[in-house]
Amino acid sequence: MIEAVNLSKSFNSGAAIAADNISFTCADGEIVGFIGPNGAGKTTTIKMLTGIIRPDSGKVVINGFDMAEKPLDAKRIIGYISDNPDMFVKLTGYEFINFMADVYGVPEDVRAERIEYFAEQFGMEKSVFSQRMTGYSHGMRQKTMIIATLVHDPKVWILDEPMVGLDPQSAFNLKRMMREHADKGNTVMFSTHVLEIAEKVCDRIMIIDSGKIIYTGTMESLRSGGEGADLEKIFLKMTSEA
Amino acid sequence: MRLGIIRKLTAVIMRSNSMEEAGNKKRKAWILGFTVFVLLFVVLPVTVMTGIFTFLTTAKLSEYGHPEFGVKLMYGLISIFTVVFGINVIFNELYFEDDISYLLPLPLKPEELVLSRFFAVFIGENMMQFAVVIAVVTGFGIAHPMNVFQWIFALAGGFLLPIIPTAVIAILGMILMTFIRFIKKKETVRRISFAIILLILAAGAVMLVSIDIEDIVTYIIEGTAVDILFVRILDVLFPQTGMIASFMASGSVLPLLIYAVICVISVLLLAVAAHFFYMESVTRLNETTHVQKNAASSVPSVSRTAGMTLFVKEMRMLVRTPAFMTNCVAANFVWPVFVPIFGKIMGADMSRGAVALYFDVPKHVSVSLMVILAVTMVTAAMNCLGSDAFSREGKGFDYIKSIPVSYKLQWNVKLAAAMVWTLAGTVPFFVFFVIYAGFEAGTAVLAILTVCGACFFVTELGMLLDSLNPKLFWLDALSALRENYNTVFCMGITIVSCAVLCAVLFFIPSPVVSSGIIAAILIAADVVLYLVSMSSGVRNIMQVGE
Repeated sequence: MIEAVNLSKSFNSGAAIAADNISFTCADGEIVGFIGPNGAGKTTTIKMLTGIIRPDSGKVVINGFDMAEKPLDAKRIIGYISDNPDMFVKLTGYEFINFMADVYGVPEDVRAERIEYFAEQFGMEKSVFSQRMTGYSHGMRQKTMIIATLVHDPKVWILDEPMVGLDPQSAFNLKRMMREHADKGNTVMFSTHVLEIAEKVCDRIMIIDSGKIIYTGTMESLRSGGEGADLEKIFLKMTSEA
Repeated sequence: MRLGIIRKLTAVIMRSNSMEEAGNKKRKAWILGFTVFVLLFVVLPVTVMTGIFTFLTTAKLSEYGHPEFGVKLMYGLISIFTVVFGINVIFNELYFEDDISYLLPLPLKPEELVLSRFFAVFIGENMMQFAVVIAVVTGFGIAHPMNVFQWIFALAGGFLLPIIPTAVIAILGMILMTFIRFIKKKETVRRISFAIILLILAAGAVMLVSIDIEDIVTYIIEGTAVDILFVRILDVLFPQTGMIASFMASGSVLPLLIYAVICVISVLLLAVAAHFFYMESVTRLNETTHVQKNAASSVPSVSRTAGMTLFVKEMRMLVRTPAFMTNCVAANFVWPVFVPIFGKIMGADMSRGAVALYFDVPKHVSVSLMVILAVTMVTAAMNCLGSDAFSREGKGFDYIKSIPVSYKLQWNVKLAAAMVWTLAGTVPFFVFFVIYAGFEAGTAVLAILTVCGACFFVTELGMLLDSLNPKLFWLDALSALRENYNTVFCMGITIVSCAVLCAVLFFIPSPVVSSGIIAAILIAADVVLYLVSMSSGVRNIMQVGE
């Protein structure tokens, strides 16, 4: 479970407010979509949830662990996929995945099994993992990053634009994996700009604009509160009104 | 060719290369403080010393009727440095920067692309160098009076000094890249550019060995300096240095005009070369690696602790990234090669008996301890392993903050990786040296302890500085080093600290006592720095991006 309590974050000595007293909960067994226009505060919020930056005020609690007080315990539960897979590209795929597995203490036999499973899900030849990631396409790097992130079987998935660069089959499989993971009683939260994905996959969506959560609820309640239109129209209406 | 486009593109490239502003006022104040410190205690003394050196050389050489020779030699050396450091920079700017892939689809002519990158390099590289040029011109002008016209154009000529060497490298680089058609991988090009630098350094070393200081003095006095191989090569490679020096000495307009024409022609030739060669060579390169036939299909079964896996990752990133391999790793192993060369130049007898006899004098041991200390500290600062420790993470920085490994452990891992490489270059050489020179056991042990302590001090200092405001946005690994001011701050503070420690060695006559004091000072400073790092340094890392 992810709990964000009164999170605030500003930059440039308060001139730019990225998060303005945000509170929400992502419960176990739930997939939560986090959507909002560019610069709304999505990535800043995700960075606060994952312990990359500290909020000016408020707190983040992951499965009962306060990120400020027990950062390592909280981070151990999270699987975080950044919006940029172009990192550590001098390592081979295996070296990067093994690096992440070592960091989270995944036994060798377990990691081998998981790599096998994920490689199949993403249609990747395992021999590719022996090559340095400098030669990978954007999509291959993204897939490798997802595998490395999920190799320790984290209970809480926090994914920043995870579908970018994935081919349709891999995107479909990732969505299915998100569903299966949530159905096991775990938490999945992801940001996206693609409203169709949020609409189809999420149990609940949160809309952020100008650092404020302007809506949180299920698709059904969102539609009943609006004119029964699709998410795109509701989203555009809400963000233009906010 | 549209000059307006070149000007705008140059501004954009320079802007994207610049360092990010620190996030909060406290950090800004620290960085301003370091800048002032480096300017006052490093840049100013270096320029003043260069000016005094030029003044003294010119004054002496004027007596023999060759006032221009000192400036010519100085500009020749500057040009050599421009070439050595420029190769990597030019290859990087023209072929490796990530933004090239965004610029290539734009409706820009190849000469516009190349010239804008060229001018960005020229201006960027010239900033520090120009301070030295001002000192050279000033020193010369005081020793050998010049009129206002000469002063203005001497400064302008000095400012334009890197144009020709940089243009020549760029032209040769593009031609090379076009005609060596089998090279398609960027990785191979990076290796080739590194090999060229090593070749130039080797050629320089061979040339330096051939120099005999007494011969140089005789040649200059007799007015036959042109007969020295080194000077002849300088004349051929960098004829412009002789022309600007001649203008400064005589005030004659002709060499100045020739100099200006050569500068303009070199830029025009660069534009022509870009027109014919650049697109062909840059569009052929790629980062793709083919899948090896025997590539492992099963997971390599290596399991490590978190600390060890971070350490292995750190080492791999350093060795596999050409810019880091060259500047951070290989740099530790290059300088020992030059020690016997300088010994040869100075005409020293380096047989074991002669060396042992020389170091029988305590004062000589103290001086050698100063050299050991200075070389260690400068090497540790120059390799940037500490002062670039966090900056080189670049886009991966957020990721290392998201993993469940304490910042203290991550700090220690980076410290360990830096220490391993720096000590691997310094300790074996100095152990050999203290044994060869027949140091007393106590002094020898303290000397090696000093090397370790100094290396730790500079690395920790660098990491602390880099933690304040790491340069995380860079387009290519070389930019993470070149455009990171923390490396300059670290070098500045290192030079000043080294000067203070050397003063202790100089004024205390007994080498055992002085080296003991130095070792004790360094150990105490190391402990303090480490404690500061574990509190403030770690806090700095947590605050990055906030």
